[in-house]
Amino acid sequence: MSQAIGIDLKKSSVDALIAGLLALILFGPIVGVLLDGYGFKTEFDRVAWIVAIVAFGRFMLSCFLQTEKGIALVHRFARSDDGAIVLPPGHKSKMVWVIPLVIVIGLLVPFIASKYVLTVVILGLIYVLLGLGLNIVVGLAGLLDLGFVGFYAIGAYGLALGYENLGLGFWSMLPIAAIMAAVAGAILGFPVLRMHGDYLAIVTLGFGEIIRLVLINWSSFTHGPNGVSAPLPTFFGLEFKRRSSDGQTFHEFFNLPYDSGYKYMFIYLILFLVVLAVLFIKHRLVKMPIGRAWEALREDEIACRSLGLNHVLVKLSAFTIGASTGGLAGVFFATYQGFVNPSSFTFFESALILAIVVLGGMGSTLGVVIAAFCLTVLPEILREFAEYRVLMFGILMVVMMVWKPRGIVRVTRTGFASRKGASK
Amino acid sequence: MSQENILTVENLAMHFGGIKALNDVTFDIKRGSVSALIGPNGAGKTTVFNCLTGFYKATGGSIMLSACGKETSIIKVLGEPFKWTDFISPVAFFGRLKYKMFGGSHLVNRAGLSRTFQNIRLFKEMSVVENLLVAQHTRVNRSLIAGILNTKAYRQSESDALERAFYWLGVVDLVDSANRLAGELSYGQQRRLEIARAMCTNPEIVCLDEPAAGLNPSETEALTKMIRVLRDEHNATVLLIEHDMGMVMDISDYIVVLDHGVVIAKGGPDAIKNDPKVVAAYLGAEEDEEVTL
Amino acid sequence: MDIVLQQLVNGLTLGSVYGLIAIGYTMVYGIIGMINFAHGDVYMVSAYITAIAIALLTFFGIESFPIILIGTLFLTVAVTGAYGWVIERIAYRPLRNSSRLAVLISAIGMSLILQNYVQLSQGANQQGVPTLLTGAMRIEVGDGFVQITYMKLLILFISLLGMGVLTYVIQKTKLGRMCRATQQDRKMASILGIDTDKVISTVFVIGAMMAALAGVLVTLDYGAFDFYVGFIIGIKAFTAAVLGGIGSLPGAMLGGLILGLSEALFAGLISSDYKDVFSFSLLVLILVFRPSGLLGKPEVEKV
Repeated sequence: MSQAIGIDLKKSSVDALIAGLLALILFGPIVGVLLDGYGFKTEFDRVAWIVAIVAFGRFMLSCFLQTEKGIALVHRFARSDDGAIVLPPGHKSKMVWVIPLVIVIGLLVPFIASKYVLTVVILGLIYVLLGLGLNIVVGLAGLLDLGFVGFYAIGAYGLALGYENLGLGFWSMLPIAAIMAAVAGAILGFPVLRMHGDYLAIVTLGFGEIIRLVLINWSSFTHGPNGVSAPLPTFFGLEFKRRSSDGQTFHEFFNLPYDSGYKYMFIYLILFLVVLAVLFIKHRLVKMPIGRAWEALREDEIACRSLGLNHVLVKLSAFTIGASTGGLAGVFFATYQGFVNPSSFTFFESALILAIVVLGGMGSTLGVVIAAFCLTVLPEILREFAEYRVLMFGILMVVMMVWKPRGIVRVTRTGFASRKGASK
Repeated sequence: MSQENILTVENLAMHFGGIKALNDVTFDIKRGSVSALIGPNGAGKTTVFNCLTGFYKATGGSIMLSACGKETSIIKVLGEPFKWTDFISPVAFFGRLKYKMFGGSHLVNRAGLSRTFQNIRLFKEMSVVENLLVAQHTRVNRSLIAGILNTKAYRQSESDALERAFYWLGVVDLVDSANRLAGELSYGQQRRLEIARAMCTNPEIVCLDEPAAGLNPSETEALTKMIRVLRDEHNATVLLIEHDMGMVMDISDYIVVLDHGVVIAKGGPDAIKNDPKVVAAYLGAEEDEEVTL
Repeated sequence: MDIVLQQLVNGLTLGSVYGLIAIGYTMVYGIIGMINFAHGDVYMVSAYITAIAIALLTFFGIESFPIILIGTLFLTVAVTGAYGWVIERIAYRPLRNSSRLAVLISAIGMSLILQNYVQLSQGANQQGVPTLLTGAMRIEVGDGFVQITYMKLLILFISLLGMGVLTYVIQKTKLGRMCRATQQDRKMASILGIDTDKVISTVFVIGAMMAALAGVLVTLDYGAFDFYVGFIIGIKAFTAAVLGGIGSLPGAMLGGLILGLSEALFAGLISSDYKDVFSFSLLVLILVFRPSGLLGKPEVEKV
C-alpha cells in the first residue's frame, strides 16, 4: 500500500502482534489445555485458530481505522448524537394500521400454528411480559435490577404452591401472584432504593439468589430441587385434562376429541390478551405524570428532589409495577410448563431479560417486543448454537453499550401543540 | 415568628468532618423582597443554599420557612437522628420516624421553596415542556386508574398543567423551543428554563444559584427584568447567589455578605457598598484602608 | 467451645480470601466509581489457570510442593493480570464518559462472557486439583481440639504477604502515589501529567492479580471448582468491600475478615444451608444502616 492513503503498515503489524500475543496468553491455557481429571489434553489447534483470528482481525481493524472512512467512523463514534427525538405535535404514525393487524394475526395464531410453534410463541410472549416489566424499572426509571428473576420465581412458585397448599387455581393466583410480587418488590425496594444507584444492582442480585437458595433449601415447603407441579387454567371451570376427577373436562363438554394442544391454545389466548393489556397500560403510564417522573428521576435525581418529587416513592412505584409484571409472567410460565423448579430461576434468566431490555432500547416498548422475540425464538430455531446463547448475550451487552447504549430502536417523545398559557 | 420574614436563619452551622464550612450564620429574608447572598469564592454561599433547600443537613442552628400558611423547620423535615427522649414519648418518636422514612429535600419544595442549580440540572433527554410538567408533579392528578382510563378529570388536570407550562414558557421567552430537547438548548436558554421549572412548583420563595453565570450583558439585563417580574407579578420572594456585582446592586433590596462561613455584613445595597469589612473581604485589604467598590 | 474456635480458624482463612478479592472491587470503585461485576469471574478464571498450571507442572515432572506452589502462583497471577487488563480495555475504557448504567451493563455482559467462555472451552463439569499439602496442627482445647491444617496457615501467610506488599506499593511507591492522586481527582491528575488511563489499567491488573492469589489458595485448599464459583464468591467479596467501606484498602481487608468470621460462625452454629443468605442479608443491612462502611468516608452529595 502506498503512503498516499497514509496506512502505516508497521503500526498495524505491531498492533496485530501485540493482540496476537495477548490472545495467546489469555486463550492459551483456558482453551488450549483441557483439564481431564488431574491431567490434561491439549487442543493447540483451537488456540492457533483463535490467535490467528484475533491477530488478523486486529490487523485489518488497525488498517481500516487509518483510512479516511475509518477516521470518519471514529469521529462519528466520539460524537453520540443518537438521543431521543421529539415528534411534532399531533403526530400520527403512518404505522397505526399495524396495531389491528397484529391483534388479528395474534388472535388467529393458535388456530393456524402447529403445537410446537405455539409453545415457542407462548415462551416469546412470556419474555415480552418480563421485558416490559424490567423495561419500566431499567429503561424508564434507570434502576438496574439484576434480581428480576426473583419476582418471576415468586409468580411461578405462587401458582404452584398456592394450588398445592391452598387449592387456589390459575384465575385466583393470577392477580394474587402479581400482588405478591409487588409486595416483595416494595419490601425489598423501600430500604434499598434510597441508596446509591450501583448498590441497588448488587442488592437485587443478592435478592434473586436468596429467593433461589430458599427455594432449593426449604424443601419441606418448596420440595427443593425436585420442584412442584403447577395447575392449568380452567375454561369457566372446565379442565383441559384428558380425564377430570371432578366434573367435566373441556373436550367432553364440547364433544371434541382430546387434544393436548387445546391447553396451549387457551394459555396462548389469555397470555396474548394480558400482554395487550400490559402494553396498553405501559403506553398510558409513559404519558402520565408517574411516567414523566420516572424518566425525570433517571435523568437527574437531585433536580427531581428540588421539584418536590419524593424520589423514594417514585422509584418504588416503578419497582413494584415492574415486579408485579414479572409475577404475572411467572404464573404463565408455571402453567405453561406445568411444573416449576429452582433451576429455571438462575441469574442467567435475569441476564437474558436484561439483554432483551438493552437490545430493545431503554424505554422503547416496540424495541422490547421485537427483542424479546428475537432472543427467545432465534435460539429455538438455531438449536445447534444453543450452548453459545449466553456467550452471545454477554457479547451483545458489551457491544450494545459501547456502540449504541440507547438500543436499536430510537426513543421518540410526544410533542405538545403550542397553546395559550394561564398562570393558575 | 413574624409574618414579615419568610425565611429565618439562626446560628446555622455546617461541618464536613473536621472542616467548618459555616459557623453561626444568622439572617432573615423579608417576604416579597429580592435578596442576595454574596461573598468571595469559598465563603460558604452554596453551602448556605444547600442547607436552606434541604440538600445538606445542617449540623446546628435552625432554619424556619414561613410559607404556604405554615411554619416549617427545614432541618426537621430532613429527618433528625433519634434522641433518647423519643423512646419515652411515642408522639415524638413517630414524628421523627415519619421524617426519617419519608422525609427529605422534596418536603422543602412542598413547603414553598424552590431552587435552581449552579451547574444546570435539567432533564436533558426530555422535551422543554416535559421539564415543566415534571415540576408540576405534586399539583396534577396522579391517580393511576384515572390516568390509564384517561378520565375527564385527568384530561382536565393535564390540560391545566400544560397551560401553566406554556404560561411560564411565555415568561421566559421559550415558547418556540417548547418541543425541543432540553439538552439541545443554548446555555442562556437552559438557565431560563431552569428558572421557569422552579417557578412551576408554585413556590413562595425561589433560590437562584448564580443565575447570571455565563450570560452576556444583554442576557443578564433580561434576567434582571425577569427577576423583577417574578417578584412584582407573582409575589415571589427571590434569594440569589451572584458574582455579578452590577446586577446584585441593581436588583437587590437586601444583601447578606458571607466570608469564611460567617456573616460579615447585612443591609441595603448602599450600606454594603460602603462597608469597609466587605471591601476588605473582597479586595483582601486591611480594614482601615480606604477602598471603594 | 472447640466448634467455635474451629470456626474462628476457618473464618479467618475464609476472610483473608474474601479480603484479597475485595481489594479488586474496592480499588476499582475508588478510582472510577464503578462496580466491576466481572471481578468474581476473574477469580473463577484464575481457579482454572491454577489447575492447568498444576497439571502442566506435574506433567513436566516437578513434584516438590514449594516449586509447584511458586510456579503456579507466578503463572496464575501473570495470566489473570492479563485478563484484568484486557477486560478493562475492551469493556470499560470505551465507556469512560458514558452513564453509570451503561458501564454496569457492560460489566455484566463481560461477566457472562467469561463464565460461558470458560464453560465452552473447559466443559461444564466440576474440575479439581489433587491435594498437594497435607497435615495439620492440633491444639488441645479442654475436651476437644482445634485442627489447623498447614494449607490454612499457608493461606493466611500468603494473603497477609500479598496485602502487605500491596499496601507498601500504594503507600510508598511512585505508582501508588499516581493511583492515589487519580483516585482523589482524575481530571486534576491528568492535567498534572499522569496518564490516568494507564493508572486505571494498572488498578484493574492489580485487582485481578489479588483475585488470582485468592484463586490459587482457595483452589489448592478446596480442590474442586466449576465455572460458576466466581458468582457467589464475587458477591461475598463485594459485601466485604462494602462492609469495610468501599474505596478503602484497609477496609477491604477488615471487611473480608469480619465477613469470613461471621459467616463461619453462622455456618457452624446456626445453619450452613443458609450461610449465603446470611451474607446477602448482611450486605443489605450494611447498605441500609451504614452505606459508608466501617472505614469509608461518608459520601457527600455534590449538588
